Amino acid sequence: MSEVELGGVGVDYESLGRTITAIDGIDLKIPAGDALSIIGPSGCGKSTLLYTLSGLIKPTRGSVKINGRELSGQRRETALILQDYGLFPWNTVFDNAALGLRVRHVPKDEINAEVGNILRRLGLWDMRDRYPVQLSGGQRQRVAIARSLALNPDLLLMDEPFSSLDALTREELQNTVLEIWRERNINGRNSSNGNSSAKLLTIVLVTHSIEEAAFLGRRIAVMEMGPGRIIKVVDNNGMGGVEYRNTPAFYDRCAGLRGLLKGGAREVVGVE
Amino acid sequence: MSKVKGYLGAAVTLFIVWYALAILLNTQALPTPVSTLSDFFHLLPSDLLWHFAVSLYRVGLSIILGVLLALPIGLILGREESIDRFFAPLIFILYPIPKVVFLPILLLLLGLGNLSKIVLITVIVFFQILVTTRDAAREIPSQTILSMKSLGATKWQIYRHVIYPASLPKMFTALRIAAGTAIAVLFFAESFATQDGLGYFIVDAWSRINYPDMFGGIVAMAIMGIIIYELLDLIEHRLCPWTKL
Repeated sequence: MSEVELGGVGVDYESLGRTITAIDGIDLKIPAGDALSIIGPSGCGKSTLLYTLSGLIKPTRGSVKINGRELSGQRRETALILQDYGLFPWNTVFDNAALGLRVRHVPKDEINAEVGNILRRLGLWDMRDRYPVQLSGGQRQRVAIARSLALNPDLLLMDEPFSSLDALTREELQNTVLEIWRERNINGRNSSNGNSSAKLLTIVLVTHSIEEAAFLGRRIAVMEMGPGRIIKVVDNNGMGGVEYRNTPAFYDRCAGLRGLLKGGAREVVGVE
Repeated sequence: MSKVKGYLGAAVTLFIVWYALAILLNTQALPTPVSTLSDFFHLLPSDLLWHFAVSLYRVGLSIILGVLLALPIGLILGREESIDRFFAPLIFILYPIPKVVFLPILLLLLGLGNLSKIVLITVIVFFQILVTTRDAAREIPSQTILSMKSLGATKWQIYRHVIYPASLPKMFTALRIAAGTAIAVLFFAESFATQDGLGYFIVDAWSRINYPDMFGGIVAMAIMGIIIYELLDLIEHRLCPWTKL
C-alpha cells in the first residue's frame, strides 16, 4: 500500500547565486494503486516533483507523506526509473537487475530466484550475461524495469522512461508497464495468495508525451512552469486496456490535454 | 594467438630495418641484430636475466604501489568537494615538477638500494594516476549517482558499485602512459650509483664500448615493456570486460 499526499510542496534551488523556485504550491493526493501521469513543458519542474517523491530531493516547503508518514530520505519500497544513465555499463543484465537487492543485502539465493523470475517474465533471461552496450534501447529500459520490480516496490516512479526509444518499442514498453500495473493491482485487491508481492502498486510517471500520459495515467496532472505548478488533474477512467490507444476516447483525451498544455503555455507567456 | 603473430611480425620488420641500417651505417655503435641477439642469448642465463628480474621487480612493484595509493585518493578527491578544495592546489603545484630531480635526495635518505628507486617511480606513477582518476570520478553524471542512490545505496556502496567501476577504464589508459614513463625513469634511476638492473647493464656496456651487449640490454628492456603492457591488458580485460565489447 502506498498512499501519497503532498501539501503545499515547494522546492527552491540555488543557481549562480540566485534562488530559483522549481516547483511551488503542489497539493496532490495519490491513492494507493493509482496510476498518475504528470505532464508539462520542459523545465516545468516535473522531474523535480518526481525526485521529491522519491526522497532524493528534500522539499523546501510543505510536506510529503507516504502512507501517512512524513517522507525522510528514500523508502525501501519506492523504485525509480530514469530515462538514461539508469543502467550501469559495467554490470551485466543480471547484475544490473540484482543491484537493488544486493545493496539491501538480500541473501544470494533469494536474489537469484527473484531476479531470475523477473528476467524471465520480461523476456530478458537469455540476455542475462550481456552488458548494456550489447542491448537495444528498448531492452535496456526493460532491464531498468526489471531492476525496479526486483525491489518489490509499492511506488514506482518513472522519469521520461521511454522518451529516447523509437515509437514501436515505446508502445511495447508502455504495454508492459500497463500490464504490470494491472496485474499487481488485481492481485492486490484479491490478495488471494497473501505473499508480499500482492500489495498494490502505485505508479507515478513523468512525461512530455501527451499520448504516454493519456495511455498510462488513470489520472493526469498537467503542469505549467515559472514556477512549476499543477494547473489541473484530469480523470482518465477510460485507460487500462492496451487497445485504449486506438479508441476515439483516447484521441479526444489527447486533444483535451494538448489544449490544456497550450493554455498553460500562453499564461506563462502572459506573465512574462 | 593472433597477438603473438602480431609481435612476431613486428619483431621481424624491426630486425629487417635494423639490419639494413646496420649494414648501411657500418659502425660499431650499431651492431647487427644477429650479433645483438647472439650476445643477448649468450648473456641471458649468466647475467642479463638477473638484471632483467631486478628491473621488472622495481618497476612492477612501483606501478602496483602507485595505483593502490592513487586510485582511492583520486576517487575521493573527485567526489568529495570539501576535501578536494584543500588538496587540489597542492596536487597541481606538485604535479608538473619533474620528480626525477628528487633522485639525489631520495638516494641520500633511502640509500642506494631498491627503496630509493621504487619510491621515485611510485611517486611518478602516483601523480599520473591520481590526476586522471580524480577527473574521471568528477565527470560521472549526477544522474548515474542518483540512480544508485534511489536504490538505497550507502556512500560506500556508491563508491564500490558506481564511482570505482566508472573511473576504472580511464585509470587503465593513464596507467599505460604511466607505465611508459615508469620504465624511462627506471632507466634513469638505474644509471646512477647502482650495480644491478637493466639501466645499469646498458650504461655499463656503453662505458665498455660493448655495443652488442648494450643492444642486448635494450632488447631486454623492450621485452620488459611488452610484458608490462600485456599484463595491464590482461588485468584490464578481467576488471573491465564491458569496455572490450
